Amino acid sequence: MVIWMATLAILITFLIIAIIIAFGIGGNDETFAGIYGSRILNMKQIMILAIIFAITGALILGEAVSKTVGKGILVDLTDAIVITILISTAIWLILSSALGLPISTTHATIGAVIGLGIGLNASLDWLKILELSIWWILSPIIGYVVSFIVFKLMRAYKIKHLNGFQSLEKTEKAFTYIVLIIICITAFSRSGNDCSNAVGIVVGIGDFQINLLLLITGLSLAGGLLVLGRGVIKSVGRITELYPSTAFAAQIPTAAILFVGTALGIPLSGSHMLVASLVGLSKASHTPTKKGMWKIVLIWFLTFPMAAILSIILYFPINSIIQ
Amino acid sequence: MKFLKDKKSRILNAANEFHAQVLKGSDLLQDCINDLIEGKLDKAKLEKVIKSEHEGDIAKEKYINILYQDQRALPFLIEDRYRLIKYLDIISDKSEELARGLEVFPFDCYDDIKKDLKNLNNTYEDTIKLLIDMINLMETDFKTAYQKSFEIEALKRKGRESKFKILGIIYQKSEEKSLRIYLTSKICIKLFDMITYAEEISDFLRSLIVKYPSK
Repeated sequence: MVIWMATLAILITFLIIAIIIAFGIGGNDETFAGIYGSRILNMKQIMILAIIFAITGALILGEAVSKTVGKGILVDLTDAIVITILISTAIWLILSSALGLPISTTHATIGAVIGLGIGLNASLDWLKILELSIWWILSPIIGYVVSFIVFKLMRAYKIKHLNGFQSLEKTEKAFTYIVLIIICITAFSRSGNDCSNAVGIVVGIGDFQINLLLLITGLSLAGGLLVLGRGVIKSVGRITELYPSTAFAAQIPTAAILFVGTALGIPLSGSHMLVASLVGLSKASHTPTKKGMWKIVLIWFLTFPMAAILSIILYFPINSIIQ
Repeated sequence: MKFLKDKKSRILNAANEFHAQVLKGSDLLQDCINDLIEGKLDKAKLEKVIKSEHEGDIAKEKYINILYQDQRALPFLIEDRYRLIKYLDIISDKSEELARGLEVFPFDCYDDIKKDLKNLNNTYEDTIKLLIDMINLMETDFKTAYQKSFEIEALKRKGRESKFKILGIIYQKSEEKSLRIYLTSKICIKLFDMITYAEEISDFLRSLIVKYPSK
């Protein structure tokens, strides 16, 4: 009876942790920023779609996706380390989402991993860290350059083909549907991917009804989106003036590169790429970026040390609970 | 698809109706000022200008309602069109104001400014016509609309010349009654104001053409 109670307590604790992680990840999801910025849908409609795709993505794709947090960087991974990494990441995600600022989940995760590695004096693969750091620097550059080029190409197309409000409306409407469909697919797959981060820690602990677990995680992702995500979506969507076609130029090519990068094992940051591509877009279209961009850049720089500090602080209490 | 086409044509019809009202108002006002120049100002005609402004307001409301009822319309295009409606409505209001002024203070036009006032009056009418033409062209032909904006600019310059010519003549009439000088200058300034305003609207349209890249 006592063992059963203890197991139940552990399961509940891990479930709560999974919920917090999913909430944090959902809260920092800026996938729908382009749709908001270009006013294809209003925030209410976006929230409905985002919630639907967060839950269905988690239920349908969540089980198939498996993640090994910190693999390849930190040599010895224990349950306590994995949970510490995820909780630190979730806390930093929640804090930045509360400020409406988008950060890279991968960036925060790796920061936590390195923090633990240093704090526990564990062996770290510095070469791997260097490789990741290069991609963090390259991600915004790629985003900026790609959206700049795509915008210029689209402008050339428009100059050749558009003539008057009516043809403009027709073209922009076509982009509306393209952007909407692709972003919904992205939200769907991203949810499946995100929920695995949260589900992973609970699955290994007990005999759980996986679908129920995925549903809870999906709901937590949706909760994060609903409570904190709207701030991040607004903040990213307003970086520059967007139309359906320019939202396409900013979001779709970077999403495609991200997809290819992920398939090739290149750790590009989706958030960094999107923000930088919006800046690239504003430069290409000679429209100003919103005030306060420095806050986003500052939080990017802070993500790494803050996640590391959080993981060092949290490791010892978490480790003692697990043991 | 037919339903969507109907919706589109409803918007265009409403826009055309509103534009026609603005044009009608300026036509009527031009007519009234010509009558003033010829010394046969007709109050009934002035009333028609005022009535036309009210009809314009009704057409405007209808246009706005249809515009905002279209759930699928792109917000930025709705906003641009709405801004245009507001600007054109100001021209209608200015026409009405001038007509009301003439109703309250009718006066005899000086003989030596008749030709220039007629020129200014015609320039006003031509500018509004050209502006409406430009607005209609914005739907299907940015390039021609863009060229029209320069024609409007040229008309403004022409209008300015007429205005200062008239003012130069009437301000030298020191022996005359000051009220007559004041009223003549007021008409002249208000007509040129409307030309200037139309030119500002054409500038706004030109900025849209630059903003939305096209042929």
